[in-house]
Amino acid sequence: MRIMTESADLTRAVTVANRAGMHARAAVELAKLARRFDARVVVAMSLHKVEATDVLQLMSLGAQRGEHLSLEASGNEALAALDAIEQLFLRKFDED
Amino acid sequence: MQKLQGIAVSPGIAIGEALVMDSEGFRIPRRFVARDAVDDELARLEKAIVAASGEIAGHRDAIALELGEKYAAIFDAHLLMLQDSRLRSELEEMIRHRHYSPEYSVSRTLRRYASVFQRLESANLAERANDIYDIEKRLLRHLLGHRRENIAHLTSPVLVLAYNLTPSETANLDRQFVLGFVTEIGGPGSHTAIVAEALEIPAVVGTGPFLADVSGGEQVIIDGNKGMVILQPDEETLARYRQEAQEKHTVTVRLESLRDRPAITADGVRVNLFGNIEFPYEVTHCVDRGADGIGLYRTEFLYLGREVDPTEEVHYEAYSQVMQAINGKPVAIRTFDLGADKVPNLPPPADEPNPCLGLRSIRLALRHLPMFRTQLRAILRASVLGDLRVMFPLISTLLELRQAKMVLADVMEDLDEHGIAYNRTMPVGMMVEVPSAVVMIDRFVEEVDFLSIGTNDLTQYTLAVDRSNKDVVGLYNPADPAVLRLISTSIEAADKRSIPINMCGQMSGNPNYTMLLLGLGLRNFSAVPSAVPEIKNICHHVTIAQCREVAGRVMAMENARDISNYLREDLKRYVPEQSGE
Repeated sequence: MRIMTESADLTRAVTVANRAGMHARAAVELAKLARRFDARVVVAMSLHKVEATDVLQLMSLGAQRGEHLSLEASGNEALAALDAIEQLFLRKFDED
Repeated sequence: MQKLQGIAVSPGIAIGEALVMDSEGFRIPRRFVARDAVDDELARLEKAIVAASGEIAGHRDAIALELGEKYAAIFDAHLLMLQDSRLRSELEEMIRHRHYSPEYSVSRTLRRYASVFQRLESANLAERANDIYDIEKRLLRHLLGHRRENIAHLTSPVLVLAYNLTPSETANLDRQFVLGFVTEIGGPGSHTAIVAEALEIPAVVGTGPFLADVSGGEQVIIDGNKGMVILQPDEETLARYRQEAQEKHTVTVRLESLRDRPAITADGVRVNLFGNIEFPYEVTHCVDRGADGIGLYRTEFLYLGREVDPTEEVHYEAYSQVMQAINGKPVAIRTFDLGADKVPNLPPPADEPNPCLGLRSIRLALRHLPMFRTQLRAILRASVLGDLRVMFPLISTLLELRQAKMVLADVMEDLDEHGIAYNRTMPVGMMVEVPSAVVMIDRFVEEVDFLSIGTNDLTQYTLAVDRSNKDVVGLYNPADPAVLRLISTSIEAADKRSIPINMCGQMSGNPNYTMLLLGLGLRNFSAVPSAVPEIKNICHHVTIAQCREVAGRVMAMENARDISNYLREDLKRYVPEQSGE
């Protein structure tokens, strides 16, 4: 069963909306959130893909305000993870 | 290959393995591990990560309790960084497949992240580079354990690369194995510069940040002539530098054969060549080069890197070593020339936006008489051991000179009362390094036994240029006509009064200026010991008439660059084998 859900990848587009961009605090929030779900979430910025749980990699993207990212999720809680992460982006990481 | 430009503070070429020290004097270690030790090394890394994580979690909880969750967030970030899966696989790959040591892998990998962050446009992320360094340090501390500060026990030659070197760090380094220094910050007067000069090894300072790009064990070239540092040099560059080092060595050996011949110009005028020293062991460097004595004995090292002020005995011990080693030749000792921030027992200056215009040197001495008297007592006691002379630095007014002389007279009286022997006629002189002293030089020469021109400070104060400031260091040039006029005025005033005048700045050790200075009438030069043979060689090749002609032309010129170019060309013409490059 698990294999089946994992193969059914979900994707979603998000935009970095907070003023400071994907800096350390935002990356930490995102990674912490991603760790709560039984899912693998990948954050892609054009061709550069990193795990949503990896703070250093998220920071290395250097995503500034206005940057379009895409999220790709797989696993049992893929949908829930995407929803929660999308909300975090929409809430501008609770900043601004 | 990567080239860095810094400030050249001690000449020569050094090629060798890097010993990298961070801002805490922390050594970044060697590169490779044995093939069969890979599993052990991986386990060691894992253990260090667990230990570091535990430590961070501890800090996190303590800070959260004390200041609130918000302030603990940074430690959350550190914990998450240590758990970064890509980081972990990168580290494992470096150790397992490339056989790098965990220390090297940690430092190389984390420093790469730090430089990525530094390059990102967001100012916010650039600051995060410091978090990465913090994690690096923590991991290294756990990996290295007790081996951490073992820089005193080197076993092979190294080039020391550091953010900055403190006196206690350089004091701890095993000198036998240090081939050169590079520091990210610092200027020509920095501690690193002085120590490198004393050790006669090449040094470059003020390169700006580069330590993130280098790791212990890598091959590095220091070009102390051009102020350049080359990381990961290619074969062609290496070959070129090896040859240059070899040629330089040949010239040095040949010049040192001049040791037992006095410095006399081609037309028979005797010139005195003295050495500048800081540490007693440097006297040997002077004697080996056939110097006529010590023209500048700096005493600052006695105060640096200690907890309390040096006692009279500490001073006396150092001075008597110098006096014995120099064997009757003259020694001009300079009383301490430091800022208040460097002297152990004094309160740090409260508000000093311009340290070079602040409370330092003789000003500080006159403000803290017990400390000054301690040094003067030791100098006077050592004056019976040979030809010792004393000079006061940074004199800017007549009143200051008189005050300093009064303190000296007072200390003499004190020694008389205790029946302690000293030389009553010990010559007393002053440094000429503040423009106001030159303006009033006709008065000063009435009150001293000799003068010594300090060209470094004189240039800095005349041109209002801080030579440790990278943005304006290009404006610093002792060949500026304004500086040359001050030098010429000082020499004339001393000659008129028939008192000796010496020059002990970097200018007197630079072959490009030798003919000009001889032409201006200077007969006493004091320079780093290694420069003595070169200067002597020039004296042998030129006549005073030629030098006067050079000086006449130079004094008619209007800007420093024309003067520098002219002097360089001229040296090539008169002493072709030694063009000062």
